[in-house]
Amino acid sequence: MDFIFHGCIEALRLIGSGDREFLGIVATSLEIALLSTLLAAFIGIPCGMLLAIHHFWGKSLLERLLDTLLSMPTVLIGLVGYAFLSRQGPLGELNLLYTKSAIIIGQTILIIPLITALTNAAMGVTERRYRVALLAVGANRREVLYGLLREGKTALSAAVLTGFGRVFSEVGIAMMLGGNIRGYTRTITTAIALETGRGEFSQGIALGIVLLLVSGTLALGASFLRRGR
Amino acid sequence: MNAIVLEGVVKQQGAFVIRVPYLAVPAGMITGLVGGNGAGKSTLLSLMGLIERPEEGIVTVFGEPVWPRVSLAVRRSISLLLQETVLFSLSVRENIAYGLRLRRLARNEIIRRADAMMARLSLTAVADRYPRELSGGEARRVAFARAAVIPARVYLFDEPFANADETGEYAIEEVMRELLGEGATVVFTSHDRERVARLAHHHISVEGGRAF
Repeated sequence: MDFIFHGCIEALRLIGSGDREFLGIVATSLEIALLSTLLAAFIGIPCGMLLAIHHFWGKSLLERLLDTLLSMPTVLIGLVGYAFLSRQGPLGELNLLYTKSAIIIGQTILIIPLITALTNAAMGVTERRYRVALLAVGANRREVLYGLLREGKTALSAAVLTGFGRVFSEVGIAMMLGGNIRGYTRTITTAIALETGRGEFSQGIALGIVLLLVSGTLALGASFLRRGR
Repeated sequence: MNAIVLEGVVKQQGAFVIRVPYLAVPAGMITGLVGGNGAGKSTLLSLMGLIERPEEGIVTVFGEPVWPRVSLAVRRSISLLLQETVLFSLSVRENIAYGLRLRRLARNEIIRRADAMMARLSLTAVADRYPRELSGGEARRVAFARAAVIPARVYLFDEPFANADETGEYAIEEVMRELLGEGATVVFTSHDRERVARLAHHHISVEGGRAF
């Protein structure tokens, strides 16, 4: 048990010391997660809105497909991404493998179905409740859409926060497409895996604390937003 | 002149079918739709309010057939209070002003109209509250105020007296009479035949999805 205790003490010292490498890893993780979430939200929110508002043939099939994609293993996305981005792959010429961009692409793909599905679920409820009320006061199509977005904004924020939490704590894609390169593509999760493998618990625990703090805050925020609706 | 006419209208909602061979709402009068729960009053009002499109038949507003493409001007000539009280996540004042803002009225005019309507319906004290802070009766009055404050030619009120106390009922009746005095057409639903007989110039009975 001692090594865990000492690991925790050392971790707190590391957090307090402002170690450059440690802060660099945290910054890289935040940067990648933020960009992936923004990209996925840019695609997922309009798709989820369209799915929620329009009724068309094959809609329930599409919703089931989305639900299936939610449980897609991250290493599978990593593997497919690797196959496409590696030198012999169809996108090999872009030289993206083992870059932040590669991780961002993979993680964006990972959470697009999540944000789409959560948007669809949230906006479906909002649409059923508010569409007719908006029409009744004379809203045109654009104004109905704006009204629905306003009424659904907390649920949409919760969807985006959930997506951010998912990519921030993701390890498979970051490892396979980023390569865990020190000072460049090393994220909190890949660093934890590496440090633990090397027996360097203090760095691993320090990063774990940051990961827990950020993920916990996001989960609390998302839960607060959902309850506050 | 008729404000709204439904001819040969058929509308299916699940297992329930509403059939209206002919129904006319005379302009410049108060019309009461009377019938029990589940008779089809709300569906009929949604058809008149151009919220629901009939599977068959013709709906005309002031002599003009409206479907398949309802113009915004026609839609905005009708103001509708829904049976279910649905308020937006805004203050009472903003909820009441919502339809006025959509119609791009001048800011001073929006404030004047909204304040006057809140005063008429004893809502001034709760003007800055949000829907979750209102009682059922207050929320219903806000929904009524939001529909009644809109400058329209036809007002359709679905159960406007629901959850209202005596003072509220009186104020709502007064507002309906004022709208009539301004030349508008008013239609309301109720299961209270006595009220319909007292307030309406014209009444339509609705039973089992049929209006007569």
